[in-house]
Amino acid sequence: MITLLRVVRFAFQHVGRSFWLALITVSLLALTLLTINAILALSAAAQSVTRSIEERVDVSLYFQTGVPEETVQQAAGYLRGLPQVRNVEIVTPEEALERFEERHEKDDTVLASVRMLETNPFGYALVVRTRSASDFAFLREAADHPQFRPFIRETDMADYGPVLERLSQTTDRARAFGLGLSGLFLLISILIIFNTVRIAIFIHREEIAVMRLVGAAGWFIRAPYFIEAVLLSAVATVLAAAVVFPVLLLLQPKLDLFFASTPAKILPYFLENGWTIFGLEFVGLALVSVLSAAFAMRRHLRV
Amino acid sequence: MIRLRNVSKIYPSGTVALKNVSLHIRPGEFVSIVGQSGTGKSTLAKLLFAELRPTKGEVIIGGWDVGCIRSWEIPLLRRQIGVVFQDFKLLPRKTVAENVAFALQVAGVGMRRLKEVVPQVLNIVNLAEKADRYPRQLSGGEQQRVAIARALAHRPKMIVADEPTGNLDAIHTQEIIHLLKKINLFGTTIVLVTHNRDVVNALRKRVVTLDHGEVVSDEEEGRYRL
Repeated sequence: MITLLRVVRFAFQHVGRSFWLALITVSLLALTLLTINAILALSAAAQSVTRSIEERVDVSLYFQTGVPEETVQQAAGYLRGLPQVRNVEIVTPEEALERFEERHEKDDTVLASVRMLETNPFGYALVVRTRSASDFAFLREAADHPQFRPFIRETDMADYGPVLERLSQTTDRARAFGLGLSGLFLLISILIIFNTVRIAIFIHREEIAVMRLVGAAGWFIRAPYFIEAVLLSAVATVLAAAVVFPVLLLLQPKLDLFFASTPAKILPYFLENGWTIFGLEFVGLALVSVLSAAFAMRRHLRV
Repeated sequence: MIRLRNVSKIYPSGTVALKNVSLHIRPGEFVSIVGQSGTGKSTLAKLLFAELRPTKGEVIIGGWDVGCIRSWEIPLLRRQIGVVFQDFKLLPRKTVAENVAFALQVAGVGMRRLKEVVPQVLNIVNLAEKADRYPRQLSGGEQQRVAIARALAHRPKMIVADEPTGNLDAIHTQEIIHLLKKINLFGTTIVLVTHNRDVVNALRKRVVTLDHGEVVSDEEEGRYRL
C-alpha cells in the first residue's frame, strides 16, 4: 500500500515538474475528445430529427362515399397485418367532415359550398403510418391491393423519403469528416503522449539512474509514467465534459427554436448517457495513452 | 561471497574489457581493484552490481549468477550491494536526508523504519547536523559521504566504490577512505576501484591489479605497482 502511494506521489511529481508539457498534452487530448463528442452530438441530432420525421411518414387512403364500414375495416385489418405498418387509423366520414371544417374554418366560401350539399361528401379514410421511412415505397404498393382498389377514390402520400435521404447523406458526410478529424487528433495525441513520457524520462534520468542503483523494482520505476498517462487522460475527459455540457445547455434552446417541428434533442441525449459516454471516452483515451507511454518507455527507459 | 570464474566481457563494439578474470572475494574483505584507465576496472565493478552481464564465465554474488540473473531479481541483488560513484549521483532537488531516504522509499520500506534508519546512517557518516541541506550546499567530500550514507541505507553486505575519491582533494580523500575502513570494520565487504596510488599504498589491504582486462597480480596487503 505504502509503495502504491509512493508511486502515485511520484506520478504527481512528474506532472508538477513538467506542468506546461502536461497542460499541452491535456489540451490536445481534450480537443480529441471534443471532436469525438461533436460527432456524437451530430449523430444524436440526426437520429432525433430522423425519428421525428419518420413518425410523420403516413399514407392516407380515401374511400369512395358510400363504401360500407365493413369493407373499410377489412382493408384496415389487412394493412395492420403487415409488419412494416406501425398503426392504422380509421377516419369516419363524420370525422373527415369535422376535420375539413376545422381546417377551413377561416375560409367561408369553402365551408358554404360544403354546407350547400345536403349529404356528407366524405367517405371513410385510413391513415397508415409505417415503422420506418424506408417502408414508404412498400406501403404505396400494398395500398394498391386489387381487392380494395375499386373502393379507393384517392391516395395521398406525404413522401419524406428524399428529405430523409438528404439528411442521412449530409450526416454521413459530416460524420466521416468528424471521424477523420478525430483520427488525426488521436494520432497527434498518441505522439504527444509518447513525447511527454520521453521528455519526462529525460527530465528524471538522474532519478531513474539512482532508483536503479538502489534497487527499485522495474515496475516501480515504470508505474508513475503509466499513472501519469491515466491521470492526464482523466483530466482531459473532465475538461471535455466541462466544455460539452455548458455548450449544450446554451445551444439546446437555440436548436429547439431552429428545429421547432423536428426537435434535435442533443442535451437530453448527453444527460441520459453522460456517464457512459465520458466513461467510455476515458477508458479508451487512457488505454491509448498507456500504450503510447509503454512504447515510449520501451524505447527510452532502461530499467 | 563473490566469485568470478574465467570472466570475459566483450562490448558490442568488439572492445575486450575483461579477459578470463578469476577472483574470489570473501565476506568482510577490503579489496582494492587498481589499474590504469581503460583496463576494465569499472567494467568489473559494473559486473558486481549487475549493471552488465559477462560475455563468458560466471559472476556469482551471494546466491545469484549475474550471467543468468532474471531482470526482476536484479533489484533484490542491488539492495544487498551499496554503490558509490566518483560523481556522487545525488539528487539535487532533495535534501541530504531525502537523498538517503529515497533509497529506502523506492524499495518499499515503511515510514517508521525510514525514520529510524536515515538518522542512523547519517550519524555513521557524520552528517546528522546537515540532514536538511541540499547537495549544492555541501563540499565534495560531504557529498560523497551522503552517497555512502545512501549506499548504507539498505545495510548492504558489500559496497562497491567506483573511484569514490576521483573528484576529491587529499583531505577529503582521506576522510572517505577512513569512512570506508570504518564500514569495513562493521563486517561489510568493500570493493574499492581506484587508480589513486597513495590511497592504495596507505590502506595495506588486498590489491587486485588489472592490466588490459587481465588480472596481473592479486596480493594480500598489496601495493600499487603499475
